[in-house]
Amino acid sequence: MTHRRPYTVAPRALLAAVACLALIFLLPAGATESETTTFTVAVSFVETTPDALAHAEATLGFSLDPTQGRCILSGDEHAALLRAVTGKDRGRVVGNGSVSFLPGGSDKLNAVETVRVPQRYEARTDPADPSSAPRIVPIEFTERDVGLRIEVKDTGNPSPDLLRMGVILEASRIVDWHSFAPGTTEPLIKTWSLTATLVVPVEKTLILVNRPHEPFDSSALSPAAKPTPPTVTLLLIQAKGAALSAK
Amino acid sequence: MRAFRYLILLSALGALCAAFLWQAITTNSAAQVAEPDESAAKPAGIAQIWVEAAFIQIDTEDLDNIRASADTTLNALSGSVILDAKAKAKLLVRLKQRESFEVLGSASLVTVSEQQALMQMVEEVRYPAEYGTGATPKTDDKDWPSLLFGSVLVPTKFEERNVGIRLNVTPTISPHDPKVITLVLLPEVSFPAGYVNFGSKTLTQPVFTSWDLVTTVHLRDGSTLVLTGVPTKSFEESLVLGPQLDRKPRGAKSSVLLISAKIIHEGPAK
Repeated sequence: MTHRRPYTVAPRALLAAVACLALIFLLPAGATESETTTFTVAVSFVETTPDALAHAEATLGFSLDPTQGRCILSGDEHAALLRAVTGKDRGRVVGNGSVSFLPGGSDKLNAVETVRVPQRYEARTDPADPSSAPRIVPIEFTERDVGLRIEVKDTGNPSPDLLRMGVILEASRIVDWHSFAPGTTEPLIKTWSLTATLVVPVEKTLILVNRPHEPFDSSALSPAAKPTPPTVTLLLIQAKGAALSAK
Repeated sequence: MRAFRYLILLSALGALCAAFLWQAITTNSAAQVAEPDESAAKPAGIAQIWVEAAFIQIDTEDLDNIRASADTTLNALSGSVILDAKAKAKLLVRLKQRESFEVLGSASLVTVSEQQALMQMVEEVRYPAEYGTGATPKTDDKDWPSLLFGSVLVPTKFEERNVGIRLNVTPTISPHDPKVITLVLLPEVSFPAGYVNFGSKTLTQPVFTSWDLVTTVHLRDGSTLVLTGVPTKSFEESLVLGPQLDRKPRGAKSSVLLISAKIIHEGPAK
């Protein structure tokens, strides 16, 4: 009878070991760094002159055309570029904003002004003075949102230091008001937008350079319109990641 | 009793297998959340493509002179030609030396392989679409001297049109050659080419010019496709309507479209 005792102990030990193993596997994995990271994407639309852009490229020491240089900038290069392309007689930031999200998440920013724009006019006589000549008055309006819109969705990072994201970026502003006849006032709205899936290294900036067509010369339609100088639009997309530090 | 022990042992092994299975399933799900598509898991997933489309206009005579230059690369500028980065830089220098050189618009974007992207920079031009009769009040406004007397036609309704540049592209890195990019392209540029005055200061209508292209091309990494020699009729030649035209006649112009693509391999930030 005594020889059976070892066999009664072994299955229990095995069972305990298996239970421990199962417990280890079934326990949720500890939070990784990427799970505690908050990503921030900062977007700037900059309008500048061709000369200021050329000066910026000379300052940086490379072309912003990736076939000749590169379009991913470090933090210092980003700051140097902004200094070179903004300021009096050079250019200005026409819209900037940022969104923050967790890995796998998304965020949206709408910073807009709703502008009411005349849609239809009519010649009407002043009821208080029926003998007066009729005036052109707006009788119907429509609403337009003008400002900045940023939508970013994390689409899965290839590595903890790279942010792969789907973006919808849009900046719009009223660049001028036109009068087609006394009593009429119509806005000229300029819009820049990008819809794409991008990969931006964390702590770096992706820059896109766009040279718009010759500015709209509206002087033939509206004598009061002022000609606008040719501009270059820069779109800067900066990715940042902040991980929670261990206690 | 022995059978009971075997039963316990088998149950334990079963629990172990279940634990392994559960772990495998949960790990796989987490991976799916982090990597929505297969390409992201591969090294190529961090490669993205920069694409630029530039619409250029130049006098046909100037373009012919560039073609006739001693440079053999630029001699080939007829129809379409693919240039490497050095030849592109050389072409741009030659083009910029000409006074008639004008960038009508250029747009660039970056997107990962097989993902469609759209960049647009437009102005919403509003112009009168309907007119009504109305007597405008007498005014001292020097901008409207022709409207001082009597009944005139005035715009009562407006329409809008987006003019500017638009680049819609889906780039794909070739699975057979990682240095070859296939571009499905829809570049478009439009602008007000001039105005037709129909006899009154308020009866002025814009004329829009637009160029668009739908094409699929293969490009080597860093190269530029140049489409040239599309002569554009001047605004005056293309319009016979309107009693009065605001622009002076111009010489024959040629359009040049440059499409560049470059794969950007970005490693982690250092």
